[in-house]
Amino acid sequence: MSPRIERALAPLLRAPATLPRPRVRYTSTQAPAYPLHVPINAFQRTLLAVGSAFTSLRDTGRHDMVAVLSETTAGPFLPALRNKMRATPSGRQILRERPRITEASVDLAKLGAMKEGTLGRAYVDWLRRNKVTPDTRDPVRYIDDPELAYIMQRYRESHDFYHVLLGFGVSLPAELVVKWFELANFNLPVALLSGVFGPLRMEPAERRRLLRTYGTWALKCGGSAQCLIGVYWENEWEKDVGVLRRELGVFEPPT
Amino acid sequence: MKGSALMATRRQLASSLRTRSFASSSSLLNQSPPPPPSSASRPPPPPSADPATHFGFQSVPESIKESLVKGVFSSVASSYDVMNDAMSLGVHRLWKDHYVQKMNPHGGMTCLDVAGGTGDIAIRLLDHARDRHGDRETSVQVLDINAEMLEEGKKRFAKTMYHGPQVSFTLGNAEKLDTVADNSIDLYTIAFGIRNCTHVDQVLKEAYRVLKPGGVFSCLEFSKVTNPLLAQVYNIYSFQVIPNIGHIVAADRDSYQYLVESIERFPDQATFSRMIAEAGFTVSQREPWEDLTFGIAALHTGVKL
Repeated sequence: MSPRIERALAPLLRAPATLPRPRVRYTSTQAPAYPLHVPINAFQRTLLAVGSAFTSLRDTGRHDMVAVLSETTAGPFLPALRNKMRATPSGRQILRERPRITEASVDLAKLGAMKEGTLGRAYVDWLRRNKVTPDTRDPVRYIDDPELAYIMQRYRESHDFYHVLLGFGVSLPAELVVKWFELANFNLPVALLSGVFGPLRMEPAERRRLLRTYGTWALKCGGSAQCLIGVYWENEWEKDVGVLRRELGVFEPPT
Repeated sequence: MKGSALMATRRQLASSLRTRSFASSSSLLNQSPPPPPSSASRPPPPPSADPATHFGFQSVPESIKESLVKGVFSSVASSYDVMNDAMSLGVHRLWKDHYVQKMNPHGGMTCLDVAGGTGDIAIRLLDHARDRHGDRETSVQVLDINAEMLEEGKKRFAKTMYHGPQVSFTLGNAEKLDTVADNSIDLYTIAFGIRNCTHVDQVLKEAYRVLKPGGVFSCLEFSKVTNPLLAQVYNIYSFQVIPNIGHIVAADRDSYQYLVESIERFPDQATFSRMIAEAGFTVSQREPWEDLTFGIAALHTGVKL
């Protein structure tokens, strides 16, 4: 039995005269570990996971709900992701320096002036084409360990780079292709959940195209490519996108 | 509806939801996860000369509490009614119906509905006067500190038959009713608003000033649950369910966290009743207040004699 389960069952296993009265916490006694941190218990986590799952399915525009779903379901999978990050030198550097990708930290003007074909230029062009900015990511709130919370935040902020690397936009079908890639690459439950239930909201023709062509490609590519969580994107602005793709093991999608 | 309509770009919605969220509107209390060292400086710390008051469970300078509360209600305004229904499972409607029935407006009363933003009470007052007494002279002035809430109220009233002399909207502060003359109001109502005011005693004093002799002050507000077992259940529901529903339904956890904390902070029935008496009102000895739903809400009444 895992130590956590043993600890939870210990009061029952001690065979007391009466069962111990459960102590209910009305507010969390745990102090916030980082700004905006909200410590929650298992009951609240379940409530949020179920609520966000249904809401994000019902209203596909609610990306904040996908964010909540990712945080509440990541639990045991984040330490595995952290290990993958620690396996590469760039990943270890990211964990040490904790860079953020926000409008304040990324000089979009400088990147936009770079040579055609570089990652920086491709990124800015992609942002412009899809009318988004780096600042529209929700902050992580429901993960207790600050390092794991940072990894989740990094995953969220790097999401755009996966789009650029794979060459997909922000429409629902495109997002789902990227989610399938993420499923194979990061093994996060939210990728599985949105990848499985998201297609229910698609047109039948699009869904067939997703499953037959792009879906299989995304899974194969994600499984064989290097784990993208460890890539220090801020150091690769000048690199040619094609070269970067080859280095990371990302191959072109079928047309 | 499907297909191209589903291609809503994620960030545009997310960014509009975030600007609605209370977290992003009050940088003083809730900073975003630490930005890189070279970013712009943080807002200056509040001056220590300001006396501190409570904002939910947080301690804030008195001078900014008003703007924080304004921020909360600006962000909840558009989903206010939906969230009230979700949180109270519709029971808030029963409370408000009972409140108005007990007050029984009739005979061309001049009513002042303070913190009445979305017009819940005001509509009920006018409907009650018209339905039960055939009275179309009773008028209600809806006063609120928050313009967005008032806008929601105006929108609601636009769908009814009431207009012109029977209803008016004023942007104002319950602690300082500059636009209302002394001894001019027959019925002063404030429903679920007084706990958000910085100086409750000041609100009560102003209420006393504007009421006519014989005028009635009545307040519907959250209070303490009397039954200890139910109090535990209610507490769990308040702190472990409501903020999460707020996040899911309204994309705003912090405003609802503030809400349940402010309910917890508000004095109990006996203390509040004493405060009303101290402001000069005569409170009934037989029934100083009425508990609703086991004390989750309480109806306090006082008369200016």
